[in-house]
Amino acid sequence: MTTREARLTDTFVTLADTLVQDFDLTDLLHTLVSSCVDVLDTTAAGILLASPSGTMRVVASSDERMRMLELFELQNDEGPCTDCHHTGEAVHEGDLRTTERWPSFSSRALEEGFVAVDAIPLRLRDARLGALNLFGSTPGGLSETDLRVAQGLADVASIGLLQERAVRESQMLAEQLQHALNSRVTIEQAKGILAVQGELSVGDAFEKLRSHARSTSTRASEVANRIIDGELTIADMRRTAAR
Amino acid sequence: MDRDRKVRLLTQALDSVPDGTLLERVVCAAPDMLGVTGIAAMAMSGVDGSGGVVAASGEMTLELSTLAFDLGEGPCRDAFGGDREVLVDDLARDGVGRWPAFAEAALGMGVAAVHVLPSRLGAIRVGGLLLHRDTPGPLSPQQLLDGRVLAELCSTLMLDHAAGIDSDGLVATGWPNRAVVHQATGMVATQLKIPLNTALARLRSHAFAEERLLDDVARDVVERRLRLEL
Repeated sequence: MTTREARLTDTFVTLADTLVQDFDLTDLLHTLVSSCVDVLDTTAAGILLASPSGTMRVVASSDERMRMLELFELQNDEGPCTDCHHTGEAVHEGDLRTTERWPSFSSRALEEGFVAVDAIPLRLRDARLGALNLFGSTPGGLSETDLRVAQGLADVASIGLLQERAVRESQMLAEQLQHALNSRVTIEQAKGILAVQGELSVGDAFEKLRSHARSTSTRASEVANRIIDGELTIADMRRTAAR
Repeated sequence: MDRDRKVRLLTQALDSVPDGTLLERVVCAAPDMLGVTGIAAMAMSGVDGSGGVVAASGEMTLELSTLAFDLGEGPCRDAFGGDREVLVDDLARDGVGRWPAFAEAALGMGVAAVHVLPSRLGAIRVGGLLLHRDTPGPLSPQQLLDGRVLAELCSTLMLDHAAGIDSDGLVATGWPNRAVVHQATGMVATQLKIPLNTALARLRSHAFAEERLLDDVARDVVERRLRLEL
């Protein structure tokens, strides 16, 4: 088995584990996007979900810096994710320097050093949930094999979204998606709180939140709620980390 | 496209109801658009004063929604408290056991079905919509989707009101969709030692007063170029 195959196998086994046990949705989605970056020829990856009003919102990103989140978000006006969500089909662009598609998005992506982009649909039977967005810093985009792997990872994300145990009653797909979207907003609010408390960037604040969640075996959304309620401060988190 | 749905609903509202605040006009036009008997927009306390019914499509709806908000039991309490939609397609069959006092009063008013769609922004409970019908039955998928879009639209107007923004014009700064706005909300709340919903209102009123986009103001806050005062 090649190194890449080994890593890929590990990735799918890890993901399968998270689905059969009690799991943290934020952690699952983060593992997915990190896996894309590790295993595929991708520099940055993000998962976007569609809200009821149709806006696509980021629920996970391999890079939590503001400029990266915005690169996903600004596709609500134009971009591969918008096209992907509308058509339900994957969208590929091997070279943003030469394409005429999505002028505003393309110039912004190029500014960030990205030359190729792929958007893979997140879907479940007939429902279109959102997209897995992959950026590359060299032209060409993903190979056929990589694209199939990416679709597999996207499909795992879709299953994970429906299995989220924090939803108390099993409800319609839309409500579970709403729950996932709202969890993310709570985490964004908590990032802001931590950023001020700890004099951190919001990207670093996310890392602190996530590592605290992992080390205390708590869901990231639960940690976020405690931060918002004032029960948990950056000082508390630093004390826990120091132990 | 889904975004057009919001525009369509808003345009229909403005065309069909000439008087009142924008929120009132939307709420009054909405029942026909959604195929329900009545609709009420409700704000959680802190967002719009002490909270309660902000607009209703008619007298009976006002009475029903006020009752729903004030009673210690009912679909509103479950929806807002539990942060989930409460869809009661048949109040007589499914409501009496769950909420005896509410169901009796509502059935007495001729209400056969109640659907409550809450609106949240992370930890901020903005409020939501109460929809009711005089015949039992579920909302169709299309109606539910329109209802959710409408709930977001009405909640945006309630956020504007909480920020002191005159909503008779356009929806001033929209429903906060970008991560940067939520981050800025957390930051302002911590800097000024105020709750999240007050922090959001502060950001919105600043953006409106300065004639800037909320996203841009938020970005300035997050990148520490701007610090708001009380």
